[in-house]
Amino acid sequence: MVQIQQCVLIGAALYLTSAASAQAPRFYPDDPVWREPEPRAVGDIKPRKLSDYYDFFLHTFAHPGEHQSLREPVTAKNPNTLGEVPDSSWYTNRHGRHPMTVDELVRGPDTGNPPSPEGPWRVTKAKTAGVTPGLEIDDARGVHYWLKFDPAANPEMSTAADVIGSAFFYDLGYYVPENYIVYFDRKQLVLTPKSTYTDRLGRKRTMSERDVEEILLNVPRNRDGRYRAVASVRIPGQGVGEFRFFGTRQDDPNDTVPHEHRRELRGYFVFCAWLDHEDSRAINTYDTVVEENGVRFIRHYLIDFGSLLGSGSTKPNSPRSGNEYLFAPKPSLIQFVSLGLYVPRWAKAHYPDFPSVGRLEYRIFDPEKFKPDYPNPAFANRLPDDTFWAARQVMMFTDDQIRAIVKKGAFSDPQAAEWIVECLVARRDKIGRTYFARVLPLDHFQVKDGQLDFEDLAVRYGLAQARPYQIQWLRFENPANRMTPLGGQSGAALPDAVKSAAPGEYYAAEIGAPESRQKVTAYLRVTPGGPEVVGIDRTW
Amino acid sequence: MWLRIWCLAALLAPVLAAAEIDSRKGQIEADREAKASQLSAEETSRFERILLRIREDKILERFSAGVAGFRMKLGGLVSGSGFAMGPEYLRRDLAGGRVMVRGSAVASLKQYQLYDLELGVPKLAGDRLFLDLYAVHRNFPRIDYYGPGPSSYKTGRSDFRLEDTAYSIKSGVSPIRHMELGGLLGYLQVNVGPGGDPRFVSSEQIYTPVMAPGLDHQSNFLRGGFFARYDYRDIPGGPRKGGNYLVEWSQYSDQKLGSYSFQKLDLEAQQYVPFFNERRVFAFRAKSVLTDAGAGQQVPFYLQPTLGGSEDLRGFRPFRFYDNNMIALNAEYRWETFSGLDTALFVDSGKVFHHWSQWNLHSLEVAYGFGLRFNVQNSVFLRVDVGFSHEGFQVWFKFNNVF
Repeated sequence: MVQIQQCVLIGAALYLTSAASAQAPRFYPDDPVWREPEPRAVGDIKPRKLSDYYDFFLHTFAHPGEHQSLREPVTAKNPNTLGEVPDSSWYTNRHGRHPMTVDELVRGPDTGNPPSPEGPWRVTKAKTAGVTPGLEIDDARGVHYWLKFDPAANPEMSTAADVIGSAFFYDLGYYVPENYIVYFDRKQLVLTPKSTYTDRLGRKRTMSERDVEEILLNVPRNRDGRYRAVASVRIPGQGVGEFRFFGTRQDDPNDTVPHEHRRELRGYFVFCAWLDHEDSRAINTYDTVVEENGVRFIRHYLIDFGSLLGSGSTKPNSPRSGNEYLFAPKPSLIQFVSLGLYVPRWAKAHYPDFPSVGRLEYRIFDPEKFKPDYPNPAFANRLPDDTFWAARQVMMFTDDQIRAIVKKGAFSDPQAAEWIVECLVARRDKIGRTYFARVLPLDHFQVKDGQLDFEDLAVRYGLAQARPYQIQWLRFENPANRMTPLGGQSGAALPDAVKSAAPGEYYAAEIGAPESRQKVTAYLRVTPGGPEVVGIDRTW
Repeated sequence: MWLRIWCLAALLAPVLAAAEIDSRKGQIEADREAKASQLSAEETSRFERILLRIREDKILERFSAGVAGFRMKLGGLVSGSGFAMGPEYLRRDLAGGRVMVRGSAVASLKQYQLYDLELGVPKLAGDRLFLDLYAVHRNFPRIDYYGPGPSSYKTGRSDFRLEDTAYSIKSGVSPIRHMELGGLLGYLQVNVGPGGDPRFVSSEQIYTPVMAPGLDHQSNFLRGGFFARYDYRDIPGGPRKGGNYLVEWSQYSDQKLGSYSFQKLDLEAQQYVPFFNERRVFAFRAKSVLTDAGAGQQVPFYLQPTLGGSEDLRGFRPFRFYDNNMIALNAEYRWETFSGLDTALFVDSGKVFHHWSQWNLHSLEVAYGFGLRFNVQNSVFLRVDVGFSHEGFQVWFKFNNVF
């Protein structure tokens, strides 16, 4: 007993004294990191599947994951010191960091690998269950694809949403499958003795020509008699199930940041709001074990974009989709007791009649009021710096770029395509107005010509008037994480102390705007080549 | 001694580890190292696995579809029969989906029974023609009867046993989308006996054949007629827009007694007026059944139109009113409470009357109330209605949509 007491006392004393000296510095020499280290190899990963019923109940009634605290916000845990998301098995910086050309944006994840129009497509599997009926085929080259179709009353709607969505989410940095719009004749589909069919009761059997006919019976046809589908290339690697929007995978050594605290998943909220992707739930994600450079690791995909842009996959989206959870106690109670006399704003939205679009609009759209089908822990944890990160990327898409990507949906009605463009442009601007107002939207920090240079994105995009900034310079002691004001120094010009500082020293510029408590702190590290911006902090 | 060393090592480990990290990437690697030392298989909870199994193995669908066509049927009898269930055989996949066969045997806790068999060919000639053969035997031991006409008393409640067997052929054409025109031919055998509810007197003990024609003798009927329907509801199981209009004329020819031949005209109009993006709906239904027995003939009471119950006057008991004719008007205001539930306020009105000349909106009985409509993909699977009238209130649990 005495030994234990001694042990605790000694330990406590040592811990307290040494902890201070061993405190992790705010900046390491390799900050900011733009790419995570190569992943560790995973062992044998046992595939597991999530239940969408369970996911609904869990998130609707239990609210899993860590929640934001009112006292001290839990900021995202994986951004680099600039607030950016490093490249990893979750995310790759693309248009947001290095603006892509229109061709690149339109190409998205495609590698020029649609099903070969030459030769037969051998049907390997078919299903009638699920949200949409589908076929699995091997083209004449033996490449495997999933074919998904539009609902009969809404030709082009979900197939267009799927290819447009995969392009946007790829450009925004996520891993997504390759999707292609294809047209084919019935005679192009051929069966093999191994073709299997799963009926609506989940029973498998050898597939017959009649099964193909039955599936195609409700598929709209073009004027030339051909069918239209979206062909989705099989995601490479070994599928091991979906990822949740909270916690981490217990079998993945590289998955160390709780998903609700990943910036790319928090910011995914903004992208989903923009593209009207209320079906953004765990069931529409996909983890796969891939091998690169001899290392097997898990890569995380977003899949199934057939419910974007007003589409509900099998029908136009419900007007409440994207505006209310499937079930939430408070709105339900309000509806119940008000006898429906309380009419939510979204119920008054006007939707033009474009069967190939479904229900998409922008006039009542408010990004902060967007709701997925049910609560998402990563979305719920979003903070203004997360939404700024995402909004900044949304704003990078120009009208012409949006138009070019929407064109990929191959709409036969140009007005339908133009309506989607009009909605995305207007929704983009609302996103900018909303989220650039929640932080001081300064970006593109660099030291240039002896000055700290930066850009106000709200001004750049015409969302705010040019405004003056107050800049206070400070000395920053990196290991101690302590700041000391540099007296008499203000303005964008680097203070003399910074210009003459020795390599390895750190300084900070705290930038504010009049009548605003929002601040941005830019951290500079002095290098032999001069000061460099290595860190950004935003407060709101 | 060893304990001290172990404690020191444990306490200093994170400190030493932090001190060794000299880069961000090193920190990330260290986090991964720590995670790698405590990996375990990714598991889902037992509850989730059960739910997944239900979904993946299509348990609900299979339960609904049954095994080899056999499944359990719930409900499907008349109002007041109590909870009913029984086996049903249903095949929609015969002849490549062109032939439907269905048969069921349903009984209720109150010993109501129904046996039926149906053979349908719904898609002949490229969906233009349809044919339906139907046979049913019913044995309902406690059908309420309150006496004839709109002035019958609630206290005049009695009951009778209704046994009938019907065979019918219905065929038609669909000349344009949503429209059906067709004819029907059938044979009906009816037997009426003493009621089986010990709480009430049997109908023949307090009502006479003059008041309730056919109470003493029942007959067999040959039935033929025509119908026209225009149905453009969006989702028949829970419509939010569109309408459904039906006109059906039929002739009942008494084959045994020669006293109960009559003509019957069924009229029904349903219209759904959505607003606020179909999250609110005004639903209207007007329904009338008119009969004409002609000289020397009567409409037997067991074939007379009735009012009251879960489908029309919801504040009144089932079969509360009988007479040769009836008219019913229903209006509902429905609003979406959440995606699986609509709530409704309703007003029902209607009356039975003896002669066509009384076909007007005077002296209508009125009921009102509220209801809950649980739905899956907008099709109602459970309805709870509470109706009020000057005769009290009624609570209805039904596995169908009212209209």
